[in-house]
Amino acid sequence: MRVEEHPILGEMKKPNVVEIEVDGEIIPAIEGEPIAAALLAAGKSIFRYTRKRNEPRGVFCAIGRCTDCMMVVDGIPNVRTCVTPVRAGMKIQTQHGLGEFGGPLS
Amino acid sequence: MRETEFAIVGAGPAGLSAAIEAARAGVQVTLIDENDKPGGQLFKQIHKFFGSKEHYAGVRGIDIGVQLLHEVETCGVEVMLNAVVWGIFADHTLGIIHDHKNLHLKAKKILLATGASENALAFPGWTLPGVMGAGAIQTLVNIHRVLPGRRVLMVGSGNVGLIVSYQLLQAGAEVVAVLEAMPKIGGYGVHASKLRRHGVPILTSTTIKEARGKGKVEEAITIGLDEHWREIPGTEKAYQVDVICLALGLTPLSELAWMAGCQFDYIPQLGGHIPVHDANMETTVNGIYVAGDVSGIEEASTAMEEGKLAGIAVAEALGYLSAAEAACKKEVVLRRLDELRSGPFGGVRKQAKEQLHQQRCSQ
Amino acid sequence: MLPDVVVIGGGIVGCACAYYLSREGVRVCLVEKGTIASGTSRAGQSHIVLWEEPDINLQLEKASRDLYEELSEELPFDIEYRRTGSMAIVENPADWEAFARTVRSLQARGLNCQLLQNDDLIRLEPNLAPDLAGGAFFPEDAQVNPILTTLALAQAARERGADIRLFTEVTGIALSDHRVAAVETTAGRIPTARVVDAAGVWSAAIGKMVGVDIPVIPRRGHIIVTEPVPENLIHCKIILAAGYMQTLGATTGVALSANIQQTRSGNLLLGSSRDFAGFDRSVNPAVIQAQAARNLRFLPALADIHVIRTYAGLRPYSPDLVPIIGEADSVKGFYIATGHEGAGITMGPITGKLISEIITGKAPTVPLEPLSLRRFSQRQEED
Repeated sequence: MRVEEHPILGEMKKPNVVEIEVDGEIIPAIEGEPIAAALLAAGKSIFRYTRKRNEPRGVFCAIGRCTDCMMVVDGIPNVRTCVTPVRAGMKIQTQHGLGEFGGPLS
Repeated sequence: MRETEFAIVGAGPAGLSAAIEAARAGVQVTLIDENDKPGGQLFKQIHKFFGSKEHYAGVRGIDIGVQLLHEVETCGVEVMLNAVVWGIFADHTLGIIHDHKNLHLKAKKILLATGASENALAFPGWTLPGVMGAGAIQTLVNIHRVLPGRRVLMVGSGNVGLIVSYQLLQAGAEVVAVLEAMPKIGGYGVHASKLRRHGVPILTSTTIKEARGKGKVEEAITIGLDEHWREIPGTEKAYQVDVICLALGLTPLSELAWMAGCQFDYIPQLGGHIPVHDANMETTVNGIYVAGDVSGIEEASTAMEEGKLAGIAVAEALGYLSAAEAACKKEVVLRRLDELRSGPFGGVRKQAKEQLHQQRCSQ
Repeated sequence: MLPDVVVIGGGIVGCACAYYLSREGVRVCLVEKGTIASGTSRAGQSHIVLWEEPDINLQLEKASRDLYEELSEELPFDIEYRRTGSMAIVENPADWEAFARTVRSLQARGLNCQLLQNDDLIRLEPNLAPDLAGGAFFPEDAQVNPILTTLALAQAARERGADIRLFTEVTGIALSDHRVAAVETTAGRIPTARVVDAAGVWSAAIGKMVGVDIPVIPRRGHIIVTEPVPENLIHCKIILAAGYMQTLGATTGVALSANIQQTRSGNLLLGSSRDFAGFDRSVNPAVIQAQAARNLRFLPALADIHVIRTYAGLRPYSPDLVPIIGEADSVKGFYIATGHEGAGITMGPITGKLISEIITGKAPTVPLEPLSLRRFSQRQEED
C-alpha cells in the first residue's frame, strides 16, 4: 500500500513507474526504489523460504543487515531486495533455500 | 593503493559532521558509505528534534540531512557511495568494494561512524513476515512511502517506539497498542501523550507472547507481566494485526572496531560492547576514531556533536588546527554535548561516557 | 592419578592422539594454551586429500581417510564428513602433459582417479571457465568440518577419561637422565614419563625445551569465506587448480592458487596462499585480492557472490612436506607429531593412531622410518 498523501511529506512526487516480473506476474514499481518496497506495495509479504525448515521470511530490517529479504533477481540468488534498486524489466523470484543460479553465469 | 588523509566510514549524522568539520580546516577527507545516498538514518527522521537552537531544535531530521549534504558538497569532501568497507588492516588500510571492484585505501586517520542495528526479540512466530524492526518501518514509510500493513502492534515504548507509532498514524495505519514490559513508559511523556490523544493504548507490564498466522502475521498474542517479569497466566489478549513492530533498542555496528583491535568495554546503558575512546573520540588504537551510535547508542543530535569533535581532533592531529584553535572549537562542542546529556535520560549516558573516557586515559 | 602421557596441543593432531590413546586405556592429559581448535585446525578448508605425494604421504592419506569412515560413525557428534571426491583442474594447455603424467603415475600406483578432457569438464561443471585445459577427478577424496572434527575428538577423548586442560601453556619440560620427568605449565607441574609434542607451528619451541631440534616453521595461508550459495553452482564440492602443487615448493614470496570448496552449510571456502611471515596471523588484503582473482579465473560466477569473512592461519611446514611422527632419539619419552603443512586435517587421525601404536607397543599401521626426525640429520650427513 502506497502512502500517497502525508501530513509532513506532502503529496508523492510523480514517480517513474516501470514494470517488473515477480514469479511470472507483472507488477508496477517505481524505478530506483528498493525491490522490497515495490513488493510490499503490491501486497507481497513472503520473499523466501528457509533452507532447513522451509519457513517463510519477509522484510525485517530494511537496511541490508539481516538478509531476511533475499530473493533470486535476474537469475542471481541471495540478492538483498531491501537495498537493491528497481530497474525496468527485472525478473524476481521467491527464493527457496539457497536458491538456484539461473541462466548462464557471468 | 589509494591514499587519503582522513577516511570516514559511514555518511550518517556523525560521519557527515566530522567530514564538514575536518574539510573546513583543510583536511583531505574521503567519506565512504555503502548506500546509494548519504545521510544514514537522518532521512527517515521526519519528527522535530528536541534541545536548544544549536541542536537543531524544532528542525526535522530530514531537513538537517539536506543541510549537511549541501555543506559536504560545498567543502570539497570526496564522497564514495555504494562502497562497502569489508575490512580494516594494518597501517590504517581499508578494504573497500566499490562498483563491484576491490580497492585499498590507506588513510592517516580513520573515523568509524558505522551506526547501529536494531535489536530483535525471539518469541514464537517472530520470524513470520510482518514482524519488523521499527527502523525498517520508518525506512519503508517515511523514505519509500510504502505501508507494510494496515494494523500494527508496537512492541517497546522507548522514544523510537512512540515516535514510529505516531508516524504510522500519520501515514494512515492503525496502531492497535504499544506494549511495554517495564511498569512505566520508556520514552518522553510528550510523545506518549500525542499517541494517547489519538486513542492508542500504551500497555505497561505487558509483552508479546506469540505471533500467529499462515505464511505471515495475522494475529498477535500479548500477556501481562508481574513485578518479576513473569508471565501472568490468563492475561493473554489477541489482536488481529498484520504487522508487529519491534522497537527494542539498538546495538552498535562495531565489527570494524573489533577488527582494528580496539579495546572494548561492556556498558549496557550505551547498548552493549563499546569501543573505549577518549574525549577526542580516539579509540585505544592510534589514529582510529569512533563517533555516533557505534561509540554508544544515543541520538542523532549527539552523534553530530561527536562527529564534529572527531573532525576537530583529526584536523588538530594532522596540523591543520593549532592546539589553541582546536581547544576553542572543542569547548563549544563539549558544552553542547553536556546540555544534550542532561536530564534523566542524558545523565545516565553522560556518566557512562565519562566511564569510557577514564578508561582510555588510564592507559 | 598421574597421566601416562601428556599431549601438548589441542589441535586436530593433539586431539586425535588423546582420542586414540584414551581408547587404548592410556591415561591422557592434554594441555592447550588456548581453546580446542584455536590455531591451525580452525584456519583451513575441508579437504581430505588422497593424492599428495611422496609415497609415504599417499599411505598416510589413505589410512587416515579410512579412519575418517569409522570416526564419522563413532564420534559423539556429526563432523560433516562426506565422500565428495575432488577435482583438480588445469588452466593452461602447456601444463596439461605434465599433469596427465602425474595422474597416470598415480593410477599406476593403484590410486582410483580419472583424467578429464575440456569437454568432460564443461559437462560435469558447466559453471567453470570454459577455456580450461582439462583436469582429473579423484573419487576417493572426502570432505570434513575440521573444527567439528577436532571438537568431537576432544569430546570423545574426555568421555574415555582424558583430562583436557585449556588455557594452560607449557613453560618447560623437566628431564631426568635424558628421560621426560614432568611438564611445567602456567597452571602447575604435571609429572609424567611421556610427552607428545603436537603443538603444530609451535612444536619447534616445545622441542627446544628438551634440546630437540624440530625443523618446523609457520607458513601462512589465507582463506576467503563467501555467503552460502546454491548447490548447483559446483557439483563436485572440492575443485582446485592443479597449479597449487607448484606452490608447495615455493620458498619466497606469496605463492597463490585457486581452491574452491563448498561446505555442508553452503558457504564457499576459497584458498589458497602460501608465504613465510613468521607467526603473523593477520590478513594481508593484497593477498586476499590476488587470491580472489585467482579463484574468479576458474569460477567466473564468483563475481556475483558476496564475501562474508576472511582469515589467515599458519601451517606447520616441514622442509620435505612429510610430517614428523615418532619418538626422539635423544630424549626418551619425548614423542613428536607435527609438520603436516597443509595436510593436518587429512592426516590428523592416522597421526593420532600411530602415536598410540608407538606408545602402546603395537605394530604401526604405516612404516615409521620415513616419518622419523632423524631423516633430517641423516640427510645432512649424506650432504
